[in-house]
Amino acid sequence: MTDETFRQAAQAYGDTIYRVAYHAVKNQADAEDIMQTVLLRLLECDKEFESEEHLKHWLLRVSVNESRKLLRSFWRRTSVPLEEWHDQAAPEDGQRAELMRAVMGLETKYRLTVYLYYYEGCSVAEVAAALRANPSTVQTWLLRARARLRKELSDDGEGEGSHYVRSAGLS
Amino acid sequence: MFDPQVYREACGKMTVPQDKLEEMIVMTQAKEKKVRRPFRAALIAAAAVAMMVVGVGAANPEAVQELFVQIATVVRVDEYRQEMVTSEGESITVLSIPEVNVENRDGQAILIVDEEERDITQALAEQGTYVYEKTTPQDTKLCVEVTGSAEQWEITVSMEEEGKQVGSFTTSSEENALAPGQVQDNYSVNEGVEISKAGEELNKEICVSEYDGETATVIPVK
Repeated sequence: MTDETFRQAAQAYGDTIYRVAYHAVKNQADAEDIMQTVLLRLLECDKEFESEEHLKHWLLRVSVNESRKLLRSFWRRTSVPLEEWHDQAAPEDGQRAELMRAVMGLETKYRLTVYLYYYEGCSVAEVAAALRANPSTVQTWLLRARARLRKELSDDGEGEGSHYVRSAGLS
Repeated sequence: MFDPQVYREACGKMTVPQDKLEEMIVMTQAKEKKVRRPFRAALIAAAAVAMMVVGVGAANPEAVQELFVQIATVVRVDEYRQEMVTSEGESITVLSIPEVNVENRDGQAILIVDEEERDITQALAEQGTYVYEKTTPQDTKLCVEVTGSAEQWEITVSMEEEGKQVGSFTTSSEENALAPGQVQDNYSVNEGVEISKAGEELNKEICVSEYDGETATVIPVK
């Protein structure tokens, strides 16, 4: 990858990589480390990306993998995590802050699933590919995540649209 | 109520400052020119370290000490094995294990070892297990054993050096989640030390779990 192509990709997807990592590790410093690693892997890779979508999904997958590595590391597992999502990510708006607090309170797999599905607009199949999970498992995670968010946010329900999973990517 | 629109707005505010991104781009380009990482996927590794002792309270994770050793040289012996020498003169043998996974493709179980795919559906159906083995001319052996089915599987990856098992781990289809420790829970070892600078007493065999080009994370072998 040329320096110029790399720079363009980093500018275009830097925030995406950061958000994925942040949803996984809930820590700004770790998320930035992961971002740097992902960028290095992008620069080093000899892959020919067929399209922007291809590049984006590759980056999503690598970001998830690098986040996984960090989460699995011995030091991380035996340390008390410094969860500082509210330091940076908490929006000033009360509703957004409460919602982000609820999302960040979910388990890692649910947080990433919610992020990829709702923010990145990935289909269930695409989320499954990024997380290396079965599509049916991702559907279950989405349902559970929403149920937990519903409970956490103490409302009466999400409305009709929230009770099904977008499955276009599965067909 | 979980409102996707509000969530998207909140996520949209999660950005990396432009100056920080620029710094990362410059640093990444500089690093790429200087360092080629010796590992692609160093999940676990086994190491025999002469004259090194992990001075850690073995059953007390809080007592884990951080040590740091600079890696002076790295010589690749074969595709799975590398010999490293630290700036302090200790030699470390590192075994890197490729990424392995089983994908369920319309009911077919596809074993992927280092991006090399093979259909193991029939073997799993008939024998309930599939074993992939590869031995290098230098006598380093990789063994990947899959049990179960395309939907529910378990993979045990182990490495042998000169006939002696030096590390293994097990993962399963249930562990696609990203919770910490899922893959490493069943390592044959459970304490770790991060090495980066000598100065502590070390004289025990260790496993290297990660190496980023400058520092290595190691686990003492029981």
